[in-house]
Amino acid sequence: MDRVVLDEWHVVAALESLLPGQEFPTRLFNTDLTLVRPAGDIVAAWPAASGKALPVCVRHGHVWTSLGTPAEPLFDLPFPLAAAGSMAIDVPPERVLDAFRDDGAVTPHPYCVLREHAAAALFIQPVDDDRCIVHLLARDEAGRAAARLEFAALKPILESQVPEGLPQPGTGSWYPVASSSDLAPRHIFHTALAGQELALWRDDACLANVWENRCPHRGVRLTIGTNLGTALRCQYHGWEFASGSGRCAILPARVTTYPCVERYGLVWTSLAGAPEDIPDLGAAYWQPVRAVFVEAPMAEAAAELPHRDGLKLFLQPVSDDRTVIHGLSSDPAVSLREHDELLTRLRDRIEGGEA
Amino acid sequence: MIALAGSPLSRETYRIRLLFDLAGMAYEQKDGPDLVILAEGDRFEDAWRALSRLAPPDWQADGRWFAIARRLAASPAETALFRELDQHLWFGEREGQPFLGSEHPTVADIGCFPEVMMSDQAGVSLLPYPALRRWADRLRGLPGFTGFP
Ligand code: FES
Repeated sequence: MDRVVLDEWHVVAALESLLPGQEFPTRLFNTDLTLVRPAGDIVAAWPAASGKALPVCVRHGHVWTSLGTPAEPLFDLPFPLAAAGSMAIDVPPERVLDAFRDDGAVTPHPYCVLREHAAAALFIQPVDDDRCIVHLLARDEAGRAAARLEFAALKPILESQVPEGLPQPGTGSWYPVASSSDLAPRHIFHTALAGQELALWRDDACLANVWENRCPHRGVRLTIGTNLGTALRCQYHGWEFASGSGRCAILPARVTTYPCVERYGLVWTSLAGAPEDIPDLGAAYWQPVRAVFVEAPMAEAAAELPHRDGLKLFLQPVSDDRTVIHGLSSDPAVSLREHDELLTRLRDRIEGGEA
Repeated sequence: MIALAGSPLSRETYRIRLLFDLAGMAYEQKDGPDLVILAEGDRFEDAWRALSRLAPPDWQADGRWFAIARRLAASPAETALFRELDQHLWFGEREGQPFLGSEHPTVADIGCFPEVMMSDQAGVSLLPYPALRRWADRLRGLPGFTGFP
C-alpha cells in the first residue's frame, strides 16, 4: 500500500461506541485491530495479530490510529461536529468518497469529506479493498438525524453496484444438503458437508441461505441463534447478519456464505472443488422423499445404492463417517411411505444392523 | 389455585410447569390447596399421571405416548428412538400433524420435550434429526413457553 496513505491517521471508531473496559474489535486496511478505552479519552489500539501498540489520537469525537508513522497532527474542523452514527458499507472507500464529494465539499484528509454548507462531515474507515465503515458527523440533533437518513438511502444504491463475488453454479462440486421444505419459516436448519457445519435458513422473502455454522465474532454456532426473517441473530452477543451477504450491519464482520441453488425441491450447495454441475434431471416432476441419515462413510453408502426407475438418489457426505441419502421420486404411484421404507432398510443394511 | 411444589431443577417439575405455562393454567410454585408434590428425582410415571390428571381435555394424548415418553426419560439420546420420532414428525408435517400426537400440542409433546431439549443443550447434536429440531422450534414458539432453567 501507498506509504503516504499508510502513514496517515485513520478513523477506527466513534469514541462513544467504546465502552470502558470492553475490547472493541475493528479492522483497518485488512488488519484486525483491537481497541480498548480504559477511561475517558484514553484509548489504546493494537493489531489483533501482534499486540504491538499503535499510535492513537482522539479527536472530533472519534478514535484515530495509524499502521505507519503519522508525521503530522490530525486536521482541524472549522466548527465542532458530533458523531452521528457509524455504518458498514460493502463498497470500496473511493466510491463512497466520490458519492459525497459534491459541490462545496472539501477533503481535509484523503478519506474525509467535510460539507461546510450542510454542517456535516463523513469520516471513512477503509476496512478492506471493497468494504468500509462510514462515520457520520453533524452539528446538532436534527443534522445528525438528516445525515443518517441520507446515508441510509444512499447505501443500498452504492452497494447494488458492486458485483457479487459468489461462485456461479457449475464451478464446484454440488451436493444436496436439505430439501426445500426443510427450511421452514423462521427456522435454522442444521447440517454439515464434508465436515463443514452449515446453518441453512430461509428469509421472509423466501431466499434460502447456506452459511458456515459459525459466528464470525466468537465462533458460536449460528444454529442456536434466531432467524429474524431478514437477518440471523447470534445467540451469544446478538450480532445480526443480513440474508444474502451474511454481513453484519454495524461491524466489519461477515459470515462465510456458500452458493445456494434450489432445484427439484432440494437445496444444493458447493464448498468449491472439482467442476461438476448439478445433475440435469430434465423437466419431469420430482418429489423429494424423506432424506435418511446414515452412520457410515459415503463410499460405503454408495456401494449399496439400489437402482430403481423413477427414483434418483444423491449422497451428501456429512463427515468422514456420516452420510445423508437424499432421494427424488418421479413416480406418483409409489407413496412417500414406501420410499421411506426402502431408504430406512437401506440405511440399516449400510450400517450393518440388518442383513 | 394449583400449587406446584418440587425442585425447579427437576425434569419432572419442568414437565408439569410446561403444561401449566402452555395451556395457560394458573398456578403458583409453592404449597397450596390442590397440591402436586414433586421432589427432585421423582419418577416419570408420577409426573405423567399428574399431567394426565391436570391437563385440559384438548391436551390429553393417546396412551401409546406414555410408553414412548417413558422410554425417552429412561434412556435419553437413544438413537433408535430419536430416529422414530424424527420420522413420525416428518410425516406428521405432511399430514397436518405438526405435533407428536395431534395438530395441536398435547401432553405427548410435553412428555418428550425435556429430553430432546436437554440432549441439544448437552451437546448431543440433533443434526441427524431435522424434523425433531423443527418440532422443538414449534414448541419453543408457543405462547407461554418457558425454557428449562
Ligand atoms: S459470538 Fe458474539 S455475536 Fe456471535
